[in-house]
Amino acid sequence: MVLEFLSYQFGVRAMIGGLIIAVTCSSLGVFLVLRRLSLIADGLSHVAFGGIALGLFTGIYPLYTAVVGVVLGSLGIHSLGKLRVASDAAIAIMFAAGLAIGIIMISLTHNVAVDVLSFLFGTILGINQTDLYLAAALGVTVIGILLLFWKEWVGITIDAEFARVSGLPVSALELVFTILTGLTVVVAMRLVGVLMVSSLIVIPASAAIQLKMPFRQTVFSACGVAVLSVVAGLQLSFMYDLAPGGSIVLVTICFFILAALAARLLPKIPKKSSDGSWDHQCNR
Amino acid sequence: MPVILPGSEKVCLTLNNVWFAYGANPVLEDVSLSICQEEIVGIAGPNGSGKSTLMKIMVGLLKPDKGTVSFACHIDECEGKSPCRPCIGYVPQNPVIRQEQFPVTAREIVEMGTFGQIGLFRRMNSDSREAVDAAIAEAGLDHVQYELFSDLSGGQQQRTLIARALVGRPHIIALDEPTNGIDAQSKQEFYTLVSHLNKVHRITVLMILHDLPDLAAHVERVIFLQRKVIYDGPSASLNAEGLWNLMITAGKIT
Repeated sequence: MVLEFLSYQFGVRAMIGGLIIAVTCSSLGVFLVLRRLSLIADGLSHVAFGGIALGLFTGIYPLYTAVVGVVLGSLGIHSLGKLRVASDAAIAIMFAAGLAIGIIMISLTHNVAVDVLSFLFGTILGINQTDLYLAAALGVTVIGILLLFWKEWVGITIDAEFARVSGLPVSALELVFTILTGLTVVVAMRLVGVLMVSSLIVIPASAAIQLKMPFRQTVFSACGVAVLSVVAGLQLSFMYDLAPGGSIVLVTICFFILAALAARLLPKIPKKSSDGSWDHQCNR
Repeated sequence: MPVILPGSEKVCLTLNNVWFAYGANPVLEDVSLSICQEEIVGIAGPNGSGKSTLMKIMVGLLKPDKGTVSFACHIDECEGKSPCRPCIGYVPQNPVIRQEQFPVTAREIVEMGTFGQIGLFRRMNSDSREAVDAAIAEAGLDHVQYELFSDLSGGQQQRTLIARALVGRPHIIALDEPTNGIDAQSKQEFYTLVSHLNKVHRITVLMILHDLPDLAAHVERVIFLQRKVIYDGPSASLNAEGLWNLMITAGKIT
């Protein structure tokens, strides 16, 4: 039966958590993909892995150490950029550092194999109430800040150089955006795991961009693709006993293929026409 | 609205002994110049002569290693501000939106010109929307404002970027190689628009130009660079031979 898993408590938690993550990841994803920063989610997810391993080693709740880790990782990427290190190299350095810390911490910790696997591959069907509250708090924070600085993010994404000339505090906003991405990674990795977290950020956004719509509609479409992917992925996972993280990501890829085909095969949608001219008077 | 004080010959932008280097490579050496209000100035020079760097210093994107940049807009509300950011409209050479299938319309790009003036946390209001409408009409983009930027012709894209720079009602507009990649008709329309902005709206125009004939035909004053200023004078006194001599002089400096 369709959405039968919602009759179970764990299914409801999975759906709510999944929808929070879908909206958060996909809306940030459009900005990241357009700024060619798709790999930043990958880099920060491995930094988060280092944080999780540190949490398991020290006995602190792993998502808390992951949050601290990604904030520090975001600052690291931003600082390397200030030192004129190329953005892809800065991300790769943080990626390697996070992974190295994670491996060392795991080697020092006993009996953590199951816990580590749950973070690597995601356990959306096993998320508890604490995870859900944390996901909700981080999701609301990320979306709230995204909306608060909406026009600034749009400006920086369209043309960071012009935004700087206009007087926008581009460097500070970029740092905030990187930290938001890190927090989103922490939220998302509980669902699909560290290894596939960037998929939820990159693929729905890339699918929406294929459709060649104005900016705002592109962000809404990315959210739509991600939400549908979570619902369909959970359904498939429940019906055929598949890994939920992998199912969700494969559904997003199907949406991407459909969007790419639609953009090439369907006739172009006519644009809104001009609603009249304005008689410009120069007041100088 | 800003009101230009009387005196059209007033200096609005001054560079004093500006030096700049990318690492160990010197790009600008001891550049000093003044731009007067309502001038149309062409900046020329061979590749790597420091033209774009000079413009980025002028608009505040780069800080000089040595020397000073000062503005005096002679606009009542702007006096005392340095850098006078709202007074400069910038049209970069190759914004990333030109190169990719960006999901952004011409109007969305023009709207971006209001963001700096609106300020953080605030949304566009009716005044800023009117300013966007006016800039779109000025640039002749009414009929394509809801089209995706990537679907526009090179000339329409260029006018969109100019409209974005005009939204803030600038007193100086700085254009980095504005005629690159556009056809002859669009180029003519572009120069007509520039002339209109200068004559009617009294906007000072700074342009980096590669085409030597365009320099003679469309600007009043030429600044020829090769790390330092090797010519600064009226374009009228520069014929084709004079421009080629400048290129040869520049080559010797390299």
